[in-house]
Amino acid sequence: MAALRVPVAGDAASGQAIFESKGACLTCHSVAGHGGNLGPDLGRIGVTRSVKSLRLALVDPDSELDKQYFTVVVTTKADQTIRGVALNEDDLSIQIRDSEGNPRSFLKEGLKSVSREQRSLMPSYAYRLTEAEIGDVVDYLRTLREPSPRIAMRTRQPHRAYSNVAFLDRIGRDAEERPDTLIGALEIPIGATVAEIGSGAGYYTWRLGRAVGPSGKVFAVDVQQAMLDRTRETITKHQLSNIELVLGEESDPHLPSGALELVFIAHAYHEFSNPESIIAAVNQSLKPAGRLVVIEFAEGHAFGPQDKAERMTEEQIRAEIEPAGFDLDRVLDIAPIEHCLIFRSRAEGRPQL
Amino acid sequence: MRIRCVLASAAVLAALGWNLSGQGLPVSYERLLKAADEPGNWLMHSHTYNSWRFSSLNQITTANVKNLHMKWLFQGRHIEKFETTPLVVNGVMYLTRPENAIYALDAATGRQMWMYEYRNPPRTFNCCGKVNRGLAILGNTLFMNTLDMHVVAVDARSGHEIWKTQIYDYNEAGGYAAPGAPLVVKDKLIVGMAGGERGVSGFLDAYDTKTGQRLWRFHTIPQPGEPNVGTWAGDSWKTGGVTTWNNGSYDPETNTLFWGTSNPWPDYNDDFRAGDNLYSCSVLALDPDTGKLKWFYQFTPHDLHDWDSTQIPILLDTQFRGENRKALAWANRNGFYYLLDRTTGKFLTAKAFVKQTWAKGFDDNGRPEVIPGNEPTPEGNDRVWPGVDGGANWMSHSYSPLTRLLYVFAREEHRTFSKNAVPHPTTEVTANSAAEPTTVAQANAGAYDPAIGGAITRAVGAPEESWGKVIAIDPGTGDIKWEHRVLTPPWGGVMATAGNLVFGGTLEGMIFALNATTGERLWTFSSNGPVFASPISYTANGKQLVSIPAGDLIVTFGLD
Repeated sequence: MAALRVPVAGDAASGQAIFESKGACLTCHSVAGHGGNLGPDLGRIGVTRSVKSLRLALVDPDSELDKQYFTVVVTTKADQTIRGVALNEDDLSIQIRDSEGNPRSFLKEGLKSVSREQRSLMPSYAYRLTEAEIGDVVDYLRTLREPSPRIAMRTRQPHRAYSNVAFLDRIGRDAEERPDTLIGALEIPIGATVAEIGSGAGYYTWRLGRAVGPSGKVFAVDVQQAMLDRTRETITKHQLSNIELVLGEESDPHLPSGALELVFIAHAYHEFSNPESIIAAVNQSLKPAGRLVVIEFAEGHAFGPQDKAERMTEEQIRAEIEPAGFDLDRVLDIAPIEHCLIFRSRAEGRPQL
Repeated sequence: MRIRCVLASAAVLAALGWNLSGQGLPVSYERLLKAADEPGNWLMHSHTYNSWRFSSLNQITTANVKNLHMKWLFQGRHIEKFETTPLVVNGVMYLTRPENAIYALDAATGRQMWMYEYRNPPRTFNCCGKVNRGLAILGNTLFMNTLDMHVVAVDARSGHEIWKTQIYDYNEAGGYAAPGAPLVVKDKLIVGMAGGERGVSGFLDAYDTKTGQRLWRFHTIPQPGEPNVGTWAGDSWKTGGVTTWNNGSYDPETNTLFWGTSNPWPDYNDDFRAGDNLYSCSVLALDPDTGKLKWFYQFTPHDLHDWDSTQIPILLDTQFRGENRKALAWANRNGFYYLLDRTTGKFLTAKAFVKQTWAKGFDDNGRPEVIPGNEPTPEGNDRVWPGVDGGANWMSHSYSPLTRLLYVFAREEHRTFSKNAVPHPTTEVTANSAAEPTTVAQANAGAYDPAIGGAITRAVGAPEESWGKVIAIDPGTGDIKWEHRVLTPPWGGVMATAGNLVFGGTLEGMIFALNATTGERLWTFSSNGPVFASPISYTANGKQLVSIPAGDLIVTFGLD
């Protein structure tokens, strides 16, 4: 296994040149409609992977390989072997994309074996590229942030209801939302000051409190005192003393200026009656390059509220947050029922403090 | 005699020994020209440029079709029905699913390989469902028209979008849409459009298959200064409709593209549009290189019944009064079967294939002698045949070179035609404004749309006044050789095969195979999904299969 290298600063333009020539990455991957189709399209890789993960994928492609890209080896009864990635499979047949990029189908009755190797068809670039070149390619990959082509405007339906609070403590929520994995993936530094808007029953609040540790601090904001009371019950149960409850207003979350490293909003943004004011206040409360996390039920997924107004598409979230002075930094694909978008405050978009 | 001839021809075809597994990608233009030589594949909407929709596969025959059974289903999982004709290349089926998704399936099992979804805005304006009728292919690229008036090119191996071009602003004039399948001719993609229920202005486009750049646009309504603009009173030409919403045909020998056009607008009200309203309800013969008009023939001058001539032109050579003719055969929505000379557009003959009340004959130039009294009226005219959906519509017909018969799934239907006032077409279009019916007849007629100048009418009279029939037409004379009647006027097309069979499906979802020589029904399957499309046949792993959409399913049949 190739050793991980220390990240070096790179240059996206030279990274693109390496990507397209020396690296020959377009043989298998595509960007903006150009390139091969054996590997995944990389048009959005800059938001779906972290710098660390991109670097790892280049030097050790097998390490974080999605099982979708395991190498499938099909051996026919005539001892012909075809390698590729799986497109689909059932008990009777398997469909693969072969190493030339062609979709092919095999009836299993005509095969001697089907096996999967837990490795990628992608070669490691650990010794094919220099450290500086890998850094450049990573820098280039971070610039790949294609949006989805179309934005359907959402129906705004401001909402504050305590009546459905039981939904927030439902059995099975951990399996549906994987909260510990999600908070872990945010890589919040110990000692950080963060805020949650719409703390509800405290489901994420106490996990944020645990993540920042005793030296850190969490502001838990809600517009309903009844919800804050529920938050208080939860944090008491978890014996956390680093969380301050804040009764916010419809247009003002009452957060300190320039003090926060991260603001977290889960399943609450769609309920805001004045999201523009809230997000402007969030931006003002963040430190330079501070992060905003927005989680919403994914439109179109079978699970979740039936009311469309309680779901948002990724494009709808981006269309409202990005113009308010944020850049999309990452998209976490941890729970299929929801979108988790991480934005970073843009210096030029920040209001004057 | 005829049976012996058919069997002999089938044996000859089998002896040629085509590669039944089908050639793979890329699909060159040369292969499209010789698509008939690849019976294992289905490379374009009507199978071949002459639009015969004839499969020369003959594993499934009149003798063994009774053993035909379902091999697989593909579930569209969409509220809309399939109206698509899938393409098949080397065992991979490419099909469109409403609204504008493309699926690649293993044609042997129906298993999905990839999916591409084009997302339309929430509101689009196709008159008759958020549907799509299929794809075209060239090289490794699939092409699809969209409901919001784009054409997209997608990599057939990966499902990745290659380019996307806007055809026209879909919001203009109350709504344009592009539900039809495009057609590849040489390196060009021919793209039609819909919207004749609004005051649109029709055209047919050609795009560069490599870049998506538009190469020419033929306006189906003459523009000022062009010939025939005088066939529209006043400025009615500006909003005259005349769309191109189905597929066309191509004759490489004369380098001619044939494409049918829709009704003039407003559909049932001609107060503003005196004249023949060219080139509505016509066939256009165009030079595909330039988009220049070579000739046209208007089936229904000054149409008042929404009798679109958007059927797919069938190019065949036939005996006409003892002479061999390069002909164009056309079973029209207005109830007449037409035979034209396809090199000149000369009218040869016409004969009604369903009950009709509107024309008593044709002069030498093919102009119909119109019978008065068939006009839509405010109180509703129920003495007009055929009905608004016509004797034929968009569903494919099929021609078998073995039986030399043209198969048409025809519609006998009794409907009411009503007329109401429409605002002057060049004032603001009110297509999307709510309006109330102005007469009791209109209110009783069902769906009401002020834009078309009348009501969209339900069938009237007893159920036995309306039915469907598969008919076999002798193309040289228009004589009907046999007729196979079904319960309801159909929305599905037919396909003839070298197994001497004609496949199709009914509105109730009964999928059938008829003896192509006699019309006898040899096999049925109850899919219980309304058939709004036409069948195809191809091979997977060397075995002949037949697929037909029914409701939101694609149903596929094979022998073993």
